Amino acid sequence: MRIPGPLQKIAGLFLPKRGRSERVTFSLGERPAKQIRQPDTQHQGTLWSKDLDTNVEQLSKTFHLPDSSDVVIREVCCANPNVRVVIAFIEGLACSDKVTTSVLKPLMLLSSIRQTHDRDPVAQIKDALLASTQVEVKHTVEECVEAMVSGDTVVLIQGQNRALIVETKGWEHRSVQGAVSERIVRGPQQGFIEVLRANTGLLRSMIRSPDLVVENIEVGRRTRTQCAVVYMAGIANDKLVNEVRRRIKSIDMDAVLSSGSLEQLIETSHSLLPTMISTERPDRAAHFILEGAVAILVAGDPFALVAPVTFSAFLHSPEDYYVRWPYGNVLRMIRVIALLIAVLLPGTYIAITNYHHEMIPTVLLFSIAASREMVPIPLPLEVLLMYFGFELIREAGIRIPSPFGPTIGIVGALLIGEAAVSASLVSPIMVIIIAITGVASFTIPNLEVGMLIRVATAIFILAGSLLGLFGIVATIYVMFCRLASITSLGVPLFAPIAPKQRTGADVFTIGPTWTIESRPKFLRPKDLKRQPDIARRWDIESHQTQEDNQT
Amino acid sequence: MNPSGERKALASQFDVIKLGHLDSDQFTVILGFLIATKVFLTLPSYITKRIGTGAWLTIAFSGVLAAVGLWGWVGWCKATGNLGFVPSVRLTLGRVMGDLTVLAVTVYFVLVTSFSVRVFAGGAVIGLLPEFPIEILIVIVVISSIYAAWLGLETVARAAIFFYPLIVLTIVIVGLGSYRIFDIRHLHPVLGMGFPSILREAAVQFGIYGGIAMAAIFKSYLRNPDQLPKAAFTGLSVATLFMMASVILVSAILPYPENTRHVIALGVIARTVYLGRFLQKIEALFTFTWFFASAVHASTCYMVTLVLLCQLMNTRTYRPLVPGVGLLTFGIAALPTSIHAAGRLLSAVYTYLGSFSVVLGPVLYLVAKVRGTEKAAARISQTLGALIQSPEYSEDTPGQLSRPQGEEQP
Repeated sequence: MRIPGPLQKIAGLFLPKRGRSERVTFSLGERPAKQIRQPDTQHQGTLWSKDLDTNVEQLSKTFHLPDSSDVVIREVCCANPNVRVVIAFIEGLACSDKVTTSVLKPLMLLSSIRQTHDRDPVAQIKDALLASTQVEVKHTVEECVEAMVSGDTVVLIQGQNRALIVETKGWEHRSVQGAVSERIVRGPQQGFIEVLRANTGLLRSMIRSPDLVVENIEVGRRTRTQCAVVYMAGIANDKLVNEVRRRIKSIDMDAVLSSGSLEQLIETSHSLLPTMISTERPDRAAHFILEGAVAILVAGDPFALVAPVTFSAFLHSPEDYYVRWPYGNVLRMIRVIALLIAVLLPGTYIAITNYHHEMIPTVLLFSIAASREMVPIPLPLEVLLMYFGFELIREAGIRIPSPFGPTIGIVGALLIGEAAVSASLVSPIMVIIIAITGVASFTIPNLEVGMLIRVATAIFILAGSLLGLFGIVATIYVMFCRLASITSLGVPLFAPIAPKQRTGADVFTIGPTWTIESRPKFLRPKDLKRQPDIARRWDIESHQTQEDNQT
Repeated sequence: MNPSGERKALASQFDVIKLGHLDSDQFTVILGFLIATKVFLTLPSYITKRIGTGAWLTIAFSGVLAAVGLWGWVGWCKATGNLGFVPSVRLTLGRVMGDLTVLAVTVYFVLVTSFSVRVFAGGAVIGLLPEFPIEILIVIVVISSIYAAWLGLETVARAAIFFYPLIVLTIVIVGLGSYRIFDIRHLHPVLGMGFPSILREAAVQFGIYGGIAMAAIFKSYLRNPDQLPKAAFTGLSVATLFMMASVILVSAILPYPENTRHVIALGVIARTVYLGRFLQKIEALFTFTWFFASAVHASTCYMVTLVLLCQLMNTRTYRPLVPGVGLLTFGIAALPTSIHAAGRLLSAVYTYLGSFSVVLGPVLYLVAKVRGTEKAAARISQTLGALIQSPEYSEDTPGQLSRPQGEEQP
């Protein structure tokens, strides 16, 4: 086969001297450059050629030009040094203004008026012309390709086997907004966005310490997704950090696009309950980091993963720390009770009314019996029907376009419930039970635990229907044992209760801020003490007490 | 055989399944559970039937005898170092006698589990689900208990630690709730049928403490073996006090001999508790206490049985044995025709095999002293310690409970 036009020269470079030329050149999915060029020992990858056309062809082939419409490769003339220069960037990832002001203008306009004594054209262009904060010299094609897909601009120079990379990142993204799924009334209102650097910046703005380490790790062979492992160097346990690093680095997948995928790839457990907390609040992530946990951010995802965590953390809300501690405790207690209601109420109702009538006062029993008199379906089926209906409305409320969503929810709850009662399909008490269950499930501040609750409620409905309280208790035992066996990066999920460990006043209850003196022991932090015994040093009385104790 | 091979052969003989490690609190709680939490419901009626109002003193004296037994077990554990239970027994009594002894202890735990499950299921049928076939309830208890055992020793210990306060709280609520009918005078005469009878009965009934053998069976799974004596004696004391309290509560509320007419007298007392007009007759809630106690007890017994079987068979994984042990328990539990028959069988197991289990400790200790087992155990422990430290040693076997690589708690 004849190799057409401009490719001929490149093909000539890469082809073996005898035979097999066509097969090698046009075989799908192969990169001749990688096969034939000698790998560089100093710079891993394929080296640039000194011939500009060859380099352009190489780049064109790599980005599948002319099929890829957003890849821009443009040749410009540089007056001083008087060479041909090609710039390449990806439209949409690179900021057009930055490319114009930092690269094109200096090369096309300033190069004619600026005089430099440097004879190396690369150094001349880098040091005297390109007006950007970050300009780097790269020797391999792969490095430049990676830079381009990150939004940078590559500058290739005639006669040079090096390329310049100019920082021009600037793709469109939403600005920092409030956290959608973790709204609070008092406290910071910022949420993570899809830009990794913006997210790490948000964390840095909260923890202004040089000990805050942001390690970048790339995952996904094709997506090359940037992940940031964030931790406090003086607090987080080294073993923990190493383990997180090891797990992420060992992932061999072609695509990792979200924190949800990454979570599944690095967690040990196959349980319904997550072993990491995903939060879109920078303040919450910062709180965990300061306790000694590790946060993982994924480029393109507005959620941070935090590990290790314990079960109690799933019931915590950032607001607990921002309001006065007695109110924080009340909020936490409400959530614990809501959790029990959401999981156990429908199942227990079935168990008691079907199997253990003697527990209900006679008047209430008559009332329940009277309300169910006209209902033709058995109680367990009635509960399941209502529960399924509620889940339908909830799911529909999320998917329906936002102007109609809340309306559908209200209409569904009021009209359908009312109609079902009028039609004697369900009893009024059942509507109340399911409504309370549904409302209680919304109080849990973690999305995934909310989903677990929905599944667990259904399981308890079945257990209560089949075996009454006996079934409920057996399910509680099995479920508890399963959860007790789960560890989050080696930390038992029910720590510090089972196994019991002494820890600060922030587990299911919360004490005043100044009394939370130590970090959670189960994280084995390098620095256990969060603050000295007397954090409020202005408090003379407490000083006096301390001195008295010492004497 | 080269030195490395020799050490591996030693390891296969002495260092079988890895289950993770218990801390001393967990050890105390599961020992307390094993001894007390299953029997505290049925014990009051059973023991008062035999000895009258002095039953609580019988428990106390039995506890003292059990403490002597535990002293023997602890001493023997110290003499045999950190070797597993079965290797230690073999080292002390010889291979054949050792295996037979371990077999007897295993049978004790299997029978206790089976008959306890049967008694519980029978009680549940009577009190909660009269229409239900008892086999289904037995299956549910066995499956839920053995599932916990499948998940591992630490899981069982965590469940025990979590449910223990709930059980104690329920008993306290029942006790406080029935304060109107609590009358200390019902405990009169204090000595019941007389002091000699109390002592005689204590000498027969100390078999209920047969579970103390667990102290030795789990000795190699303690995070800090030095704390074994303290943890074991604390567990025993807590269990004794708990059983005494339940006997005193029942005896003080239901006067003798009325308290002997109910299999589960505490359940009857719970029925009398009045918690206002909204919730009445809380004996159904008592199911929670009873089930958790039974399930944790059964899970612990399963774990003990699995450890013993694995060590007997020199296998490094216990999970393939789990279904078999579950089926065996179910089969034995289904044999008694009634709750009373199961209770009688359970009593016989406690009296004979339980007593054997208590006495075995001091016997082993004396034999170990006479035969000088300490030195041999120390030598083997040293060899094993070096082997475990060596890089060629691996304990990655599916089903064992040591944490997988990288899952180590930081």
